[in-house]
Amino acid sequence: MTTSAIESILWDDWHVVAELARLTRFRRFVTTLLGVCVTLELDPIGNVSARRDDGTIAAAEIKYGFVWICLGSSTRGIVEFAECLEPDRLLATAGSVRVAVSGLRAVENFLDLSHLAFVHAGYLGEEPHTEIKQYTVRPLAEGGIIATGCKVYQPKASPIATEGYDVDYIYAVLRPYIVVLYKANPVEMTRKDMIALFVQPVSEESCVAHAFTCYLKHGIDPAAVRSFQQFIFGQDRPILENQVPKRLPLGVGTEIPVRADGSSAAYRRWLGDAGVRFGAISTG
Amino acid sequence: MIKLYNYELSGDCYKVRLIMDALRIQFERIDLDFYPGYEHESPWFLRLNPLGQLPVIDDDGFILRDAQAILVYLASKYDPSGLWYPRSEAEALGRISMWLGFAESLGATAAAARLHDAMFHDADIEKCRADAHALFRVLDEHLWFAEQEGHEWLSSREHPTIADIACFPDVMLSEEGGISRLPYPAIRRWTDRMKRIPHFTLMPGIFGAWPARASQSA
Amino acid sequence: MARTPGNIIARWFPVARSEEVISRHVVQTQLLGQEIAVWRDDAGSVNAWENRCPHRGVRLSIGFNTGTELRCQYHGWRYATGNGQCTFIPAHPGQKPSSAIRANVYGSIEQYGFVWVHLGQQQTDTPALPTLTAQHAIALRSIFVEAPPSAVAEALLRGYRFSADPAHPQGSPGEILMSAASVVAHDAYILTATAATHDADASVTFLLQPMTESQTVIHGLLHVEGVGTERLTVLRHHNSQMTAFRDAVEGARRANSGKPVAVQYP
Repeated sequence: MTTSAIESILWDDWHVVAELARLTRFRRFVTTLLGVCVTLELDPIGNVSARRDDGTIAAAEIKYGFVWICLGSSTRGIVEFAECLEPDRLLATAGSVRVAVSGLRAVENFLDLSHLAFVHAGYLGEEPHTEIKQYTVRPLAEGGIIATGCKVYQPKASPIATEGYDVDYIYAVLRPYIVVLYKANPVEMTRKDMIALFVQPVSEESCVAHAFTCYLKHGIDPAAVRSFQQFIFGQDRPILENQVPKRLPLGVGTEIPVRADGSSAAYRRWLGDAGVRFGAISTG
Repeated sequence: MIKLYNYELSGDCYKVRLIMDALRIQFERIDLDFYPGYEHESPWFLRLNPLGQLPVIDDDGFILRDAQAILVYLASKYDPSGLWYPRSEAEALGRISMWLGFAESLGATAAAARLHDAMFHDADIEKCRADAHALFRVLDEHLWFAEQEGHEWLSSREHPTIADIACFPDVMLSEEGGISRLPYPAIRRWTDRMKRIPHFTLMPGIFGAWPARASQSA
Repeated sequence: MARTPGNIIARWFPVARSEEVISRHVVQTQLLGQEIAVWRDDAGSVNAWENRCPHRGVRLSIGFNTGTELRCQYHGWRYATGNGQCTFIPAHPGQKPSSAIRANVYGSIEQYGFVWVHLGQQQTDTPALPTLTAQHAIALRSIFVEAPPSAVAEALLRGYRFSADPAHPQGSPGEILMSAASVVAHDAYILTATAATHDADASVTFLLQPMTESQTVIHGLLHVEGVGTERLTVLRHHNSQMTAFRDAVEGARRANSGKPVAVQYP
């Protein structure tokens, strides 16, 4: 796929390409976004620059502890979360992991509820509590989808949970490769902890999943948050890498959803309607 | 209580967790931020292990590094049955040590490929994968003929030994480094048998095995 | 060199030794670029399915063989032995899954110590199984080769050596006298090598499994009388010969391409 052929919804948007901490440590870091090789550099005063293989500059910003770049002309800003401005929040990057599958599959996995009792057995779900009750999915005005009313019984829903309970989940897909989960904080149950996955589409069949957490500070140890997120993602990774085909099929037919897959079905439909092709199989 | 300096996603640390669970040893995990914090390279940890590698154990002041060495120590000290490391049988010890050496080679190849693919470590990835495949061919052939002689484990014993524990993680996680086990059917059968060992414990990236038929021997 | 008649898809190929398709295990293999999950139920029947769960495409070979079903590792969906029908969806435990949800089942049969699979339409294209000599036949260890089936067949025809009686070596101590076998191709995927000493003769039928365009599994069926207690010696000998043959074929390909053969396993 030539670079000019990549759809604007991806090309002209911001994508995470590295944790700032990685650049701080290594000063120079080479990565690939949408098939384009980019060299990131951090100057002595903390500004980041991004240079493509052909020598041209790409726009680069630092936000939420990550380096974001835009290969085209950004039509809107980097995603923003109001929660992150609240003073009693701990914002932490939770690790970046390479996965040999389309980033769209990684986003869909993050949305998925019915795997929690199997892939994350004993942590985010448990047999026999496998039933997924009806939940609601609707489009977001700015693009994307939101799923509300999702309930899952979780034996250990967060690093500080001490017992199992039914957890309410809200998921939002904000961009084709950005998905956010909101779950009620175990101590202050009216407020929500937030975990986001900023997926970097490296190629159509590989990605880097960058995790970001915005938890209420009560009793949270950032190292424990990071280690729990890595643990959970480490369980998902071999499932993702064993999906065939690697790109996400958007058509109807080869993969059969059931009612519990409401958000994934809506996600695939939205991607198709929005013209997303990179990382997807558009027909069949 | 034994302290284990640990990282949950490390195959080498998993070897130590496996033997301790198999031997029902209580232990305390001290989790390091291996990635992306590189805590194993921090001064306090280098004082414990100048090689800057996990795992390290501290057994009441006795500090030991190197997963294979830790397996030898724990099996020697804490296995009253003497099955995991039969100290008095020269041939068995020879064979086990041979496979502990093989496990080192798996570390330099299959494990290195996984660190490269998942955690951005530097490696000559094509060489790592090619070398891992060469080792897997040797392992598959050995296991195939072992099965023909009625053996289920690496060192031709009736019971698994630390040889099996030492080789298992890097083999089982090989696909995370782009090394498929499709061409190695005997290895795939052996990994199923490993998962059925009593008190076998999992780690992210490794699924359990469905129980064997009741009429079959363990 | 005999040409393969007809449609290559509607043809039986061996994919595994029967004794290796063991209980509560799933064999992962590949035929003509298609990955296949092969498994045996507790009643002894063999299944060969497309290695892909119809829900979200996860390989069935990383799932569980429960003895009566395959259970997908992702969401726990279960598929019945035989027809591959989905029998249970844990997210909707009270409901019977739609009959449209089933694993893609290929034709499979066991013969001569191997599981054979064909990828054609089950109802219309069941091909004839090749006729091989069944008596005194031992299934040898299968060898995976990084080379196309045509290259393997050509190399076999050019020369293959083995001893008709490795348990009783003739010649100096430690040496096994080998004959250059006479190799005959029955078609592109079945060749027989025959060797003789003055008091023994043996033949090996090589059955080539085309995994992908550049990868082949060589299955071997050895015909020799009275192996008995020397079975292991015989198996080791043939494994050694076939491995050396494989190394030579791969080495020649590396030499021709000027770079290491890239391992292209899926």
